[in-house]
Amino acid sequence: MPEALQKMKARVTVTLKSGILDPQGKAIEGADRAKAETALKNAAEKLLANTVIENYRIEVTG
Amino acid sequence: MKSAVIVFPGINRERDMARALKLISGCEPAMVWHADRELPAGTDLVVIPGGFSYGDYLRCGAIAARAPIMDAVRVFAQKGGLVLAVCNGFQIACEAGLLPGVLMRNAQLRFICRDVYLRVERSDTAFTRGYNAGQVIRVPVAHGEGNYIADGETIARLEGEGRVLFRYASPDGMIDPNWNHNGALNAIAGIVNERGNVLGMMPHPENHVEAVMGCTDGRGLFAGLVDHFKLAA
Repeated sequence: MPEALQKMKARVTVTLKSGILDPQGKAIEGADRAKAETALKNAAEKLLANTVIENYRIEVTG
Repeated sequence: MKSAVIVFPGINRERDMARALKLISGCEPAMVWHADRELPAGTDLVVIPGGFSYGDYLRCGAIAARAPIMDAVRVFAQKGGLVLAVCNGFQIACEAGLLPGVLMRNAQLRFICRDVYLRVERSDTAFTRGYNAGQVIRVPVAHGEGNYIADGETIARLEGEGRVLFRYASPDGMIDPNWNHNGALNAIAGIVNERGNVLGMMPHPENHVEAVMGCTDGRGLFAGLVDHFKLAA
């Protein structure tokens, strides 16, 4: 790898092509977004972030 | 003095602590598993020992602070029971809301394992009655996250209410950045809660209690607690 690239971070997202069956994707299709956000906020407040020193941001991405 | 030492997965100083408690109080402490929900009846002192509970995953002490036994420890503390939280125990106590503030990464980003000097700020507490105010003691530390911080208002309250019991100091008791190994705010090494019944400290008094350890400066803390309960009885 060229030296200039060694200290970089990148994210590569690989997704299924449309028309390909995604059983996990199917399973979460019916999920309730508002409920998920409430649960995530609760998890962030209670454990994931120490709000004395940390902020948090929730993104529901799928 | 009946003590209960809380044992979390990844803790490694619980036996040192139990040995020191047995040696000085003459009473074998109960070892209480993190998944238990109750403390033994008649417990006088709860000790949250040092180590790396849950491998320090997420944040030091964060997962242990939510373990089932911590609800019982909270209730015990609310009733005025004495809690001694050392090293990872201090981090757990902060995460559990028993003490204010947080222990951040050491200022120089390195794990510190060495003896340090502490100035005992006051002697009129159950935890420090075995020492004189202003006395300097030598006690080991072993931590990567011991750099105490809290917001300005909290620090002002801690200082104003005399709740800092130990500070990192030079061998002759001077507060000096060169002797504040982890960069803690106001060289804070140990604090108590508002009521004065929960002590959190990064250094390990349990590791300086026998001549064979090369120093017995940690004995005073345990001997003072034993006295405290004798007088209360």
